[in-house]
Amino acid sequence: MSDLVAQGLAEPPLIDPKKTFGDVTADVAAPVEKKPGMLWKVFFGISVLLTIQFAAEIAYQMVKGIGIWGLNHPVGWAVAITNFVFWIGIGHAGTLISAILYLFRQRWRTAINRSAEAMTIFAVMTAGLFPLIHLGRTWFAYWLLPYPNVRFLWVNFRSPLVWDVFAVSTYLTISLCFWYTGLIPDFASIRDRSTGWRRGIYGLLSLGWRGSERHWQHYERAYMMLAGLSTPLVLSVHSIVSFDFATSILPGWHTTIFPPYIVAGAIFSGFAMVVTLLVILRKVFKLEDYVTVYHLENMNKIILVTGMMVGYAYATEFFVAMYSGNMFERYTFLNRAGGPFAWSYWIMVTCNVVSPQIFWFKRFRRSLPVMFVVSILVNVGMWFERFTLIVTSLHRDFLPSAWSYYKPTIFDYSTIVGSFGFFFMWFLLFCRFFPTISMAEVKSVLWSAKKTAAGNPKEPMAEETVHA
Amino acid sequence: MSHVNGGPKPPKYWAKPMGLEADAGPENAMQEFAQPSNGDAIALEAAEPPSRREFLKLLGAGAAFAAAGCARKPVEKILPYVHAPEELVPGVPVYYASTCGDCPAGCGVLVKTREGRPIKLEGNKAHPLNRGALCPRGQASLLNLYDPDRLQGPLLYGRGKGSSKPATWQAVDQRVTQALGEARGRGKVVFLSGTVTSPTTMALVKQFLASYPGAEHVVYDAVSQDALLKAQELMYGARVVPRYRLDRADLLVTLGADPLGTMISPVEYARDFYGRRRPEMGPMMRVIAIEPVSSLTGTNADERLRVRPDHLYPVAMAIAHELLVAKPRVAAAPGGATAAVGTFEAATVERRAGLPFGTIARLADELWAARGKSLVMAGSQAAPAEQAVPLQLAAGLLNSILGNEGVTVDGSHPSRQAAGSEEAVLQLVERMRAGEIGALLLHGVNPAYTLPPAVGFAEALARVPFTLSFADRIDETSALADVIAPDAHYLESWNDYEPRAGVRSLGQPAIAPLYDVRQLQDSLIVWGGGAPAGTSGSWHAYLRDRWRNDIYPTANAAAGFDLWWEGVLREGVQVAQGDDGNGSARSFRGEAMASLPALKPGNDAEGLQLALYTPITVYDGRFANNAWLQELPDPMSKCTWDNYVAIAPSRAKALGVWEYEMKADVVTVDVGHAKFDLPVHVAPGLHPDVVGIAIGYGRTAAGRVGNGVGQNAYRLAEATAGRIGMAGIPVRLTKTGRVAPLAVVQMHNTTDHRPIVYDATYAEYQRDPRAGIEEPTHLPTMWTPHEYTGYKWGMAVDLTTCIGCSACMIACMVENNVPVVGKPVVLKGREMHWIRIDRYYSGNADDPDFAYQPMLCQQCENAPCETVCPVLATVHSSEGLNLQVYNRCVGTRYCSNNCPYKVRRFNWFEYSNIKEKSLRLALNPDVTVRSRGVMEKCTFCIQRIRDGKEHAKAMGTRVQDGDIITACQQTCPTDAIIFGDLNDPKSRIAQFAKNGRGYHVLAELNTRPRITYQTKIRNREEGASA
Repeated sequence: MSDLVAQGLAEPPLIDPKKTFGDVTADVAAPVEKKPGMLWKVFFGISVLLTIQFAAEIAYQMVKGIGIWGLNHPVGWAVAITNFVFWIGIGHAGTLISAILYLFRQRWRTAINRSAEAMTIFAVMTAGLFPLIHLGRTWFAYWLLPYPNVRFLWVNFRSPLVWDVFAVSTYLTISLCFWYTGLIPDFASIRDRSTGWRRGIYGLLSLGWRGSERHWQHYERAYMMLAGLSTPLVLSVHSIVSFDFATSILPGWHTTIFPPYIVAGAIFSGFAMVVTLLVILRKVFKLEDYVTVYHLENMNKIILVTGMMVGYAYATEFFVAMYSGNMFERYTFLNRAGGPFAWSYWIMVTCNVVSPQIFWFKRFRRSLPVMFVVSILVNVGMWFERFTLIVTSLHRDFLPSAWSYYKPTIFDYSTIVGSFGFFFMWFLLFCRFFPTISMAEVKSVLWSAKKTAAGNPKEPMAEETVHA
Repeated sequence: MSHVNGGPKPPKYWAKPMGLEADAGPENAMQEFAQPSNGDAIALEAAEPPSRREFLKLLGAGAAFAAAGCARKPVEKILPYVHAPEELVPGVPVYYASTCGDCPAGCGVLVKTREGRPIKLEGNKAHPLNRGALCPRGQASLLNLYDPDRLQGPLLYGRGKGSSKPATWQAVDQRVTQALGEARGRGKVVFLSGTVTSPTTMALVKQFLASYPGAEHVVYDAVSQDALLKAQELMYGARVVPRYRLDRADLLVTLGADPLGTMISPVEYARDFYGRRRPEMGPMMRVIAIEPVSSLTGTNADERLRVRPDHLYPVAMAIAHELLVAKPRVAAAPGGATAAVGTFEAATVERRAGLPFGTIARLADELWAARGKSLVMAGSQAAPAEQAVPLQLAAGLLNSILGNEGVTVDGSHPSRQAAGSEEAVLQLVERMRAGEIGALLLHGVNPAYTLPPAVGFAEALARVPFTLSFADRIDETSALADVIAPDAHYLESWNDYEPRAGVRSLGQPAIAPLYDVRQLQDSLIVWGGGAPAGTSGSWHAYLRDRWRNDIYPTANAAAGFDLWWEGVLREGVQVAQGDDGNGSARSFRGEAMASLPALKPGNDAEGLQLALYTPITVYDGRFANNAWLQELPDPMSKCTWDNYVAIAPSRAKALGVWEYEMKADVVTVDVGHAKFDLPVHVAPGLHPDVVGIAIGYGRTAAGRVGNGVGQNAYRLAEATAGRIGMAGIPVRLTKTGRVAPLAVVQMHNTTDHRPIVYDATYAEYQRDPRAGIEEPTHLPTMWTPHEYTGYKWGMAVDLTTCIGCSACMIACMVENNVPVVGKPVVLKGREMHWIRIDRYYSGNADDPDFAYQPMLCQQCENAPCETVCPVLATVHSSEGLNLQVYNRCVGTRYCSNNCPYKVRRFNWFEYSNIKEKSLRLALNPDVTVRSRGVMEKCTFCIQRIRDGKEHAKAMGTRVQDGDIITACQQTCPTDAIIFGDLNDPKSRIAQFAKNGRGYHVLAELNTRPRITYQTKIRNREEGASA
């Protein structure tokens, strides 16, 4: 068996079989039950500060107008929409890991799905801010909803922005349900281990979970159904976000390749973000035994694959632009690679296409520092991909007389760092108060690991199965 | 631009557009906050970073943000009229015929007033000069009325000390009568004014001055036609500007003259011009411009020849030499002419001026072929001081020997639009310095700003015991006066005008004076000891009396005077009876030729020459405080809120300076007696040895808008031998190494072969009206077409007649309450114009062809903006308009992103919150002001469409063709914009939409625009595109 693992033909044990079920619960619940460490406090403090400055930026903008950003007449969208698409992309990996890998019975997902799903929720929350605040009149954002009203005003169902409203809100709702459903047994575990007001709160959160056979049956069924519901959403939400661009007539936006291209990019950036977060998380909360290098390596493989898909998409876009013979298309792509925003384009290519190639080497694929750096580079690259796509297409379109340049202002930068602060604030709160690893699911993996290790499968003790 | 002149496409000269080289890196992402400039007075909300205090406040606000509730704004009561004026119906505009008084051209206007306040000026169709059109300055002169920097009453001013004391008119009258009484003993009384086209005012001034022994009226114009006047005097014995008749010319040759831009009577010339330029309307006029800097006329010419200012005169003389000596064709040359042109051999002049060999012979042949139907016009300030009059004489000689005199040059209907004398004003300063002047009254002039500093006007003024200014503000000159007695704005005044002999128009007040100001003429009557004999008191009565006595009897009116007077007031203009409008030739005085200098032997001095030119926008500086005009892009450079050093691309490269996006290298301009720093503008089409700088900027006391905008280029002018030289001054440019912001609205100047502007030559057009057009023929669509059972509005824009003057832009701003944003905001690319004039270069790098293209909402059939708006704030109307529903707009800006024409404008800040109350009066109440966060764009003046439809409904008919005209169309001097109902097959627009030259911009996108552009036809040899 171990020979097969060494040859890469069999899966290595996902968890050390020597661990007991009790160890799993104790290790995972530790951050929830202990006082947070210094590192957590520092990170949380920074995140809250960034969030507050973000709120101040939004408040100032509501008072003054979005003119405080660097937008101008050809460039009607820039950093805010870049942030939106970027964060929506980040929000992809969670559901992909939870739902699609679940349906494909990829058991290695169990160690990472909880945090990845949390990341999804917070990333979509962060993303959702931007379509709201980028409006000229945010206070009328509800007009994008088709609600009955005495003035018989309706929304324009031909507009992809309306599709966005549905796609993103559906995605958030389903992801939230899916995440919460998975959390219920774990909340119950924590409830059972805690006392006082904490017991009350986790008791409420666990919705009366007792771990009966019936509960498990319902749970499994619900989880399976939600996974089935989420799976098409993974593809639909970003496809629809890509329609914001693809259905326009702007050269550089108006492309049929967009849905798969943007979805691949989203998975790419989402996985990179998961790697970034897990490398830190497993260290800070001492979860190295659960989130092993094997898990990370698997994700790096996906990063490598999706990175090449994205690179292929870049090449295709260029080829099609040249092959089409359309002068506007051609110019847009030449301008991307050689125009005033070429720096942005080449940052994107370097980070997204070149940097993941290092994962061809197993040594680097398994090296924590390397994967940490690459995952951050990929996220930088993906931010610039969205930026390049949006801004370079807008700043020089059809009539040369209208061409211009775009310069971000301090308030644009404020929204970028602010969005990270907002995201990390939620994520750190999650690490502190929620079980970051799905205990119940890890235990099922542990059970089979134990069976494999024993060679002779023996039923584990009943009391160990659920309530350790 | 597409070139279909046969053969390969001419090379485009910047393979990479400027921007690609310029700021390709984050290190250049400078200037997150543009420097605030004085433009901020009206620049409503330039984004400023919050102060620390504000930041902390907002930090708190950020926390409490979610909890913030809504509050009702304070109650503001409005009240209806208690005693409504009889003729006033609220909501219905009243028009008053009047005359534009902000420049001496004297175009007739109709003042549109609403509830008693003027809100728009429109040209008076009945006026024979402008025939309904107005120039951008005329359109914008409304804002001067509401200028918040106007004086609100008379001032007793501590001259030079800057201390001023508001006074009553009584105190002023006392002080003035006393001072003038004292002046009687101490020296002459001089009334210094700009050109006065009002005959009655002239009579009054004469009468007023008559009571002071030796008193004089000196006329001085900063934008001077003195050389022309002087030359006319020498040639024909009378110091008058002849009437130039472009409508009769088959060939127009300009020598540094800009009749379409700023010369004498641009609207009149432009209206004459277009009638001969629309190919459908008969033989097309050909225009050849010989000029140092690119003027509006030159950029619309069929052929442009670039020469230095000091070569204008030799070139003109060489043409005459060709006609008189080299290939003598003229039967009876004026005496002395042949001798005068003797030294001007074509080959020598061509070599020295850098013109291709044979050019002058060709010009002479062309002129000769069009003899009697050609016109040569020369700029009075285009040549060096010593050649200014000779250049005019040479032009006059050409017109005379070509038989144009009496046909295209009509001296029997002289224009009164320019009368200033440079010699007189320079002499006056000398006499002031000598202490001969006892009192100086200044009206409509600003010599402390416009005279070259070497003249020493300010020092000389200090020696005049009493100075009074009629200026409406404490400007550079009135700051040196003892008393400022502010004149009323022309819209608050009674006046008459006679811009051309026999064309008399009236100015009537459309509003009572906003402030405690008094009209010049009323002041003169008071100070002249009450009403002059035979009149009954006020200036109004004086004016009426003069018309009763002098004009009424010649009018052969059947009605009594009162009725006739009312009729003239209504009409606005009275044309002398019994005049067929034909001129008669004057006899040329050969002795004038004696003063023509011979060609300077040897070679010309090397080095750069300065050419100061009058900008379309602020003119001589009098419009510097007009934010509409400051924000109006110069048609040639597309630059706003600044003047700049225009240099040819080759010269810029040699100097190592360049213009980048929204910024340019700064150079020091040094003429020896003055120097200053100014950013460069790389201007293809300029002669490489010429440095062009606009006058009218660099005001220090214009007001909050105009102060400190650009540099005062008058300082570079020279005063020699009784003449003010504006061109040909040797100049040195040195690179400073600094870069300064330059608010340019168009940074990419070629069409890159995109289907935007099509052009063809006249011959090609005659063979095939569709020449030049490369439109796809079959464009399928998946949408079901809209159906229009009622009206179907459409527009045509003729690129051949459009001269780029930009009057439409101002008209649109006035009509539609389009905000001015100020230089820092233009620098961010956020100007708000609903209609803009795109200017494209094509052909040769150094000497390109120009094309002007008005670009506004195309009201597409398949509108890309409509499909993407999530809240249906932009929708298609049943009459084919793209409506923008401001109330529904949430501000996603997706529509603008998806608009291929980029004509939508977003309200980044609260632009409609105008802080200056007087400026709010200029708003059109029929058009809503847009709040922050909503998109706006051209509506085809939907309020006017509404108006026209309501009118038609009341009459029980359909809207008749021509009943609805948009604001841009209304003011266009060249009829380049035509609006109407496409469903009416007899309408002009339907004819235009079908005629051969029609095409659509970016047709292949299948947006199906409602605006049909007409190809640009250039009247030149095939394949001769520059």
